[in-house]
Amino acid sequence: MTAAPAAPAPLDGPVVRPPPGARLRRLARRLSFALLAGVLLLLFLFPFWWMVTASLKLPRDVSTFPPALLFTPNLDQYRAALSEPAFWWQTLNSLVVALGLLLGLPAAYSVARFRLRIVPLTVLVVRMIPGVVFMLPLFLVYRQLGLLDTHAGLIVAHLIITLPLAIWIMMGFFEDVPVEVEQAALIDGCTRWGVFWRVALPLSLPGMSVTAILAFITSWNDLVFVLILGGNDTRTLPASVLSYMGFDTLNFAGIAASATLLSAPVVLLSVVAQRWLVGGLTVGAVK
Amino acid sequence: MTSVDLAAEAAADLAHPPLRGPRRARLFAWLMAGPASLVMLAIMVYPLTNLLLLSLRDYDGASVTAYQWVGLANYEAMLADPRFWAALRRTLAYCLLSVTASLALGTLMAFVVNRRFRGVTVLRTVFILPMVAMPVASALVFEAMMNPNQGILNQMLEAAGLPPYAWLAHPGSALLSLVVLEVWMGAPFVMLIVLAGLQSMPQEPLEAARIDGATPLQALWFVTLPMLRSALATAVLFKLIDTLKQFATIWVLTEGGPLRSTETLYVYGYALAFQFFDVGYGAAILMALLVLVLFVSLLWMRVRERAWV
Repeated sequence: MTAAPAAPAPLDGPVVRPPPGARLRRLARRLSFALLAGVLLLLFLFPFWWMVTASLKLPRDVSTFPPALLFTPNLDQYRAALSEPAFWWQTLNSLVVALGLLLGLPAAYSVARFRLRIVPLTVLVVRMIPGVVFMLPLFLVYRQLGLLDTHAGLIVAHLIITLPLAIWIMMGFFEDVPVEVEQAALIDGCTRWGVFWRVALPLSLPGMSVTAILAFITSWNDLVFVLILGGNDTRTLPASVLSYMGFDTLNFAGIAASATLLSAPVVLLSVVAQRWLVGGLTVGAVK
Repeated sequence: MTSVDLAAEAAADLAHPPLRGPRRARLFAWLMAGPASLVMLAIMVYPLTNLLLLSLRDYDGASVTAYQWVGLANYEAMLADPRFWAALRRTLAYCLLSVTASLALGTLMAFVVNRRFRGVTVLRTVFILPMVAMPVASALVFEAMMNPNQGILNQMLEAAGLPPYAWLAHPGSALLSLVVLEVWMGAPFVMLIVLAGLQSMPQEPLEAARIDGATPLQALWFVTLPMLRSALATAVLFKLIDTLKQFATIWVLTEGGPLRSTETLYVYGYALAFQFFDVGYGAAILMALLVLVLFVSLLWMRVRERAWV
């Protein structure tokens, strides 16, 4: 026999010289794909672009048409928004996701290792239910306890968002820690708490950061809790924007600056942590 | 027993559920889950059961003690309330429209970013932004852009020689404007789910179809989409739950108006309970919303069991 064939034949038969129109057709196809991608990009980027540029313009320049592409940025609107306490209350409410993690981590570990079925079921149901459903009875209880319009009250209420989320996501991460590692630690004389604290927790650090970021995002984005349980003393930025919007609707620059401030932390976090977050955002749906 | 034996026994029951294991493991499990469980009982389970009880009462929310037990009267009133039925119809229309459109757009986006080309990661990042950005902020931006006098959308219409239009002020178009925003925020989630489906899909069936002479469109319709079935079902049900629960954007843009044309169940329940202080009846409306959401969640759990367990 002679030498082996130089290359395996392509799956769709012998190579055929492309017909004359093929290159042109391929070019057309690539162009239309680029056009599609471009249109989609524009569709999704445009509101953000408008928001950021409007927030940097002088109020009288915001609604000139066509919009000015080059202008000297003006930070007055940001100064105004940041001098409001609302922005900082907002930040405070959301930073206490730490509390949700503190309670949620041991619970998630316990669920993952000891199969307490009732806990994940409750968590799942709570995650599906609209927030207002909890708010109505909680409002009445808070009123009786004098917790309405207090930061303590809002911080506890935010646990409704962060605790189920922390348990739900961390369950999966703890399940991924190999049981053998934990068994080895136990045999070496580690206590059960030690296994959790020294073995399981350090091994699921990446999961913890995803959970913290996601809990921060969902808690940051809340409106309905603060609308119902908050008041003049505890108003967060979205609630305060809503309250002044009524008689000041046309201050587009101010609205845009508030919207930018409200979106910025979350958007920056998700751009930075995108690789991990994509798994977290779809948790429960995929896998 | 030596301590090593004890440790070995403990190690053995790590692998087995503690129901048969020693009592101490069970105690440990509940100690760990205890604080979280107590909090969940206090601020989640208790309010839920309390909502049910509230819906069986006539309560104006003013005093703390003046409850009047009315049995199912609130539910009877609900069934006879044309405003409830209108809100239910609107809720379903809003959900179905936005979920269908999000599904179509999100799937398209998934196919686009599933390809490899320069800048695809940038595109993917941009596509995810509307999903995480604060809904209130997005709603504010859309409101400004749709402003009839100085909004940029109407300025574009005018530049094209068309009359400006008050998108949010007309009962006929307000709900549709909200759907546009919902799709803009919702399509990225569909994209993520479908993209995950596409990337975990075996390639052989597609190659087989190509060899058998299927056109790309045929391959898409007869091979790819059927294989994405469970991903698509998940995306639809998740988005359905999300849109049933939508409140922030509706509240910012229209507060249920104009002429109640955007009053969904959520908005109606919220207005009843917190603006008109008809707490008992508001609770009944919110119970209806809850049942709707739980029904979709059950559907989703069925789908998940079939597909992944």
